[in-house]
Amino acid sequence: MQPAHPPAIIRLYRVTRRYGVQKALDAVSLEIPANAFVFVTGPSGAGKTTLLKLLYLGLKANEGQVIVDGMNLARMDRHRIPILRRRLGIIFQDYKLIATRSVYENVALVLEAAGTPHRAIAAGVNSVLRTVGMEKRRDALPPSLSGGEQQRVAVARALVGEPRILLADEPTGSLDSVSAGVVMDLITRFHQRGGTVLVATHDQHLIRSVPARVIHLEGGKLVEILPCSDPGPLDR
Amino acid sequence: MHLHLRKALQDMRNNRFLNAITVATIALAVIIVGAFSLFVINAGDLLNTWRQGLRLMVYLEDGLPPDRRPRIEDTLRRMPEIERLQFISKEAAMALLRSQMSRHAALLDGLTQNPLPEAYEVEVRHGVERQMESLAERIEQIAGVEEVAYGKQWIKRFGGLVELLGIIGYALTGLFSGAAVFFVANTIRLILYGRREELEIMRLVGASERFIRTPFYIQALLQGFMGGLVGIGTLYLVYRFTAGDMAATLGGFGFSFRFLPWTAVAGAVLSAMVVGWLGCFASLKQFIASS
Ligand SMILES: Nc1ncnc2c1ncn2[C@@H]1O[C@H](COP(=O)(O)OP(=O)(O)OP(=O)(O)O)[C@@H](O)[C@H]1O
Ligand SMILES: [Mg+2]
Repeated sequence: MQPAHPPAIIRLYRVTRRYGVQKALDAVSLEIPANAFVFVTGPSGAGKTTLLKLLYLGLKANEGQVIVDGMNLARMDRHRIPILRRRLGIIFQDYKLIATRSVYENVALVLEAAGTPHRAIAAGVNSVLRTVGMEKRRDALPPSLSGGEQQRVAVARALVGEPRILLADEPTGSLDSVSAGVVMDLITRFHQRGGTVLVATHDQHLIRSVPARVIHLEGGKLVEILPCSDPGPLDR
Repeated sequence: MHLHLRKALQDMRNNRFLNAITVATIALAVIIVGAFSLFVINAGDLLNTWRQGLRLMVYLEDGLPPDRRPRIEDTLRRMPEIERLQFISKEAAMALLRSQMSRHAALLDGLTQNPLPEAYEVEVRHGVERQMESLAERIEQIAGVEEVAYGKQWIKRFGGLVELLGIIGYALTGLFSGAAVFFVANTIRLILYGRREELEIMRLVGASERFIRTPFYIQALLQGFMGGLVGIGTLYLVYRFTAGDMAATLGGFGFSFRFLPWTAVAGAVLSAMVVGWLGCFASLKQFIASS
């Protein structure tokens, strides 16, 4: 190890995850240093979402080791899962906003669950809603919002707890280019403040828009890691 | 805590109908069990009143020479169970009968001779009411005593009935508590089922199981509390409107009705809360196991 090399905040060693007999991830090993900006790409079904799920223990690996921010997930106790998840900000492919709770409540939930004092919650939520430009819709219910607005609320929720790592699954998937620009801008700023970012996407356009390393999956296998985003030999 | 309470109240408001049904079920259980306790407590009181006022009538043999009375009296006085005794002559007995028959006293005028026996009215000491039978037997052994009378059959039967009702009361308490637990469990299960997606999202953003469950427990405890209050309140109203009539019926025994003591009221409300807690516990356990 070179001493100049920043320590890995995420480390996978020969990780395999199966659904039945099919391997969604096949002996994947990789290291992501703290404060890295990483794209996980590959065709549909390549295992991008599966990889992210392993990182927040939405799934457990069948084989291999997953270490996130110093925590060995294979050996993690069930009741410690919330501790892991509070260090992560997650933007889900399908947003996962609570339909019966207002925008404000959806975002506040993260801080409430973390035991943040009442006053600080209001301040934190209002500030992050302002950042994503959703402060005027704070009392709206998610189903009444457009896709882009819901996505921004999802970003706000992922950022409000000031996580160490941001996991984003197709964060611009259903957005027009303007909304996508807004969301990527928020993510980039999180990265600039020192956060580690993992974005799963098959949008090559998006990948080219930010200088970042790219992890390419195909059929559950790690095909290559590019140090910096550059069209290179990637298809499409 | 304040946050959990707010969530619990919000939940109860959102599920007003289910919530009302649960509270009503718990209240009903409290009413039925409470009514039984009320009955058993008052019947027990009544029984004690009767036992305490219990007197033995020691009838003497007809035509017993008056000079044999002091010996009998002496024997009676030496019995530790006896508090006081009073001689009732034939004439006194007749006078008493006349006064008791009041308007029908004229019937007694037709008698040519007084058929009533001489007797001692014996008052027993407090606390020996339950040993009346053996006491009566010993008194009957005394020479010159014809018969000893007291309302033993009556009291025995009534005591047995009160005991039986007490047992039925326990069984009903168990049955209705079980039913109430079941109802609370079902309410919470329905709410959980309707919100499983929300609960899953809460877990994904870092909420602990305790954070997720606490509002449900608060809700169940509140339901129990409200059910307990409504149940006891209803019982009290019913008691207020009917106790007067019943007391009038039984008034002749110098007996007054009373409501459940406050310890029992507090116990009922607490039990209702325990019922709520248990229901919540059961449904959460099952829900977590199935998710
Ligand atoms: N719950 C599941 N049960 C069975 N198979 C699954 C499940 N989830 C994913 N898979 C399979 O695992 C493989 C990887 O899925 P994954 O969702 O990780 O792909 P992805 O790269 O995120 O795809 P996309 O770009 O479409 O989101 C796919 O072949 C998928 O069919
Ligand atoms: Mg996916």
